[in-house]
Amino acid sequence: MAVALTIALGVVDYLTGREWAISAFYLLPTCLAAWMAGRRVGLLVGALCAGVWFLSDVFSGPAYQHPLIPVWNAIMLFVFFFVVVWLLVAFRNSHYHLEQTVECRTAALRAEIEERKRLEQANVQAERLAVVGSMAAQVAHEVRNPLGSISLNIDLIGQELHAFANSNGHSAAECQVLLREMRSQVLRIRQVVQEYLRFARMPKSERVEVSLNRFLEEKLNFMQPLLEQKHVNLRSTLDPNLPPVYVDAEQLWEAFLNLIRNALDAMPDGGNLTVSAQRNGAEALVSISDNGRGMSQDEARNLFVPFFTTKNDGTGLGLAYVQRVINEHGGRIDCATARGKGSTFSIQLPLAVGA
Amino acid sequence: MEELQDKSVLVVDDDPGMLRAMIKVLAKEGMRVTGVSDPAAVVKKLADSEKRFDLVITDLRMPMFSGRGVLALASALPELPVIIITAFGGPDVQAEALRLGAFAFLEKPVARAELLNVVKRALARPIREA
Repeated sequence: MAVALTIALGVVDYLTGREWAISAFYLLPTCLAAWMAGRRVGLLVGALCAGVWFLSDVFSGPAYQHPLIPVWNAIMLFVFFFVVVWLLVAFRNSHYHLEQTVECRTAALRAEIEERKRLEQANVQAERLAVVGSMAAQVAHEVRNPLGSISLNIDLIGQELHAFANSNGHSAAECQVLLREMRSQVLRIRQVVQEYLRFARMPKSERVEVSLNRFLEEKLNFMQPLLEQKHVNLRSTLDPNLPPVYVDAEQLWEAFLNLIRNALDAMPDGGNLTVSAQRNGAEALVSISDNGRGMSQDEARNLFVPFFTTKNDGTGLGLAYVQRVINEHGGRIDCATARGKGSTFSIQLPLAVGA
Repeated sequence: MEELQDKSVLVVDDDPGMLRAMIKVLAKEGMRVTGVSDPAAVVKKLADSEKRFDLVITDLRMPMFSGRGVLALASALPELPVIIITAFGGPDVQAEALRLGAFAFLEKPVARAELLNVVKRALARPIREA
C-alpha cells in the first residue's frame, strides 16, 4: 500500500512539476510502512520515496545550476526520512512493549485471582473435611470398643458350642455357620471403621523426591496378577524423562490404588485400564482411565464429597481421601466421565523444586 | 494351651464389656487374670509386690490414667511385657507405643486367636535387658 501511494505521489509530482511543494507528502507512505511493518520496510519505502522524488525532480523539475543538486536533495530527503523512521519505530516499539507489559500483568493478575479462589475453595473443603473427619473418628472409636467385646464373645460362644456339641454328640454345624456369618459382619464393620479412621487421622506426609514413572512402573507390576484375574488389560505410557515430584510415596500410592480399584469396579467384565504420566509445564500429569460404565454428570459432580458413593458397599470416603491426599501435596484432581464410555481421572502434581 | 496355664495377667480396660470378654478368653486358657476397669487401680496392683504379673494388657486412652502411664510404670519392671489393645489406634500412636516399650500393639476389635497368639509370643519372648 505504501509503495502504491509512493508511486501515485511520484506521478502527481511529475505531472504537476511541483516537487518541493509535494515532497513533504512522501513522508506519509514512509511513516505508514515504518508503523505497520517496522524499521527495515520503513527505510526501504523511504529510499523508494527519495528515488521517486529524485526521478520526478530530474524529469520535471526546474533547471538547477549544478547537475548534482537533485542528487544532493534526494540524499538529504532520505536522511530526513531515515531519522523520522528511526524515531517512529522506536516510539512504536516502546508503545508496543508497554501494551504487552500491561497485557502480561493483567493475565498474571487474573491467574492469581483464579488461584486464590481455588485455594479458598480448597480451604473450605479442608475445613469441612476436618469436621467430618473428627466426627467420623469419634463415632469409629465409640464403635470399636463394643465391637471388640462382640468379636471376642462370638469366639467364646463358638468355643462353648464346640464343647457342648462334643459332650452331647449333637451337631452344632448350623450354629457354627451362623457364628461365621456374624464374624464376617464384624470384620466388615471393622473395615468400614478402619476406612473412616484412615480418612480422619491422615498422618503427616513424609515427603521425598520420587521419580513418578519408575515408582508407577514398579507398583503397577505388582498389580498385574490382579488385573489379569479381572480380565483387565493395562496400558501404561510413562514418560521416562519426567522430572521427580516431592511426595509421600505411600500416601500417593494409596490414592492411586483407590483410583485403580474404582476403575476395576467400573469394569466388572474386564476392559482397558490406561495409566499415563507425563510432564505438563511445571507439573506432572498422571491420568488413570478406564473404559467401564462411567458416571452420570450428577454423580460426577458429587464425586469428591465425603460419604457420597455409587457403590452398594462403599463408605463414600475413597475419593474424598484421594482428593485430600492430592490437595495436601499441592496438586489437583479432576474427573472426566461419560455414561457407558468410562472415566478418566487426571492428577496434577507440582514437580520437585529445581526439576 | 500349656504355655498359658497359671500365668498371671493384668488386664486394664475402662470399657466393661471389652474387659469382661478379655478376662473370659484368657481365663479359659487357664491364666490367672486380674481385671481392672478403673485405671487408677493399676498403680496399686502393679505396686503390690505380693502379686507378680507375667503380662499386662491395657487400653491406651482412658479417663484418669492412660496406657502411656501403664507403659511408664511397666518400664520400671523390665521383665514385664505390655500389650496395648486400643480403640484409639493409628500409625502415629502405634509408633509411639512401641517406642515407649510396648511389646505389641493391637487395634480393636481383635479376634480370640489373634489375642492368644500375641499373648503367647509375649510370654515366650526372651526377657529384655534392664
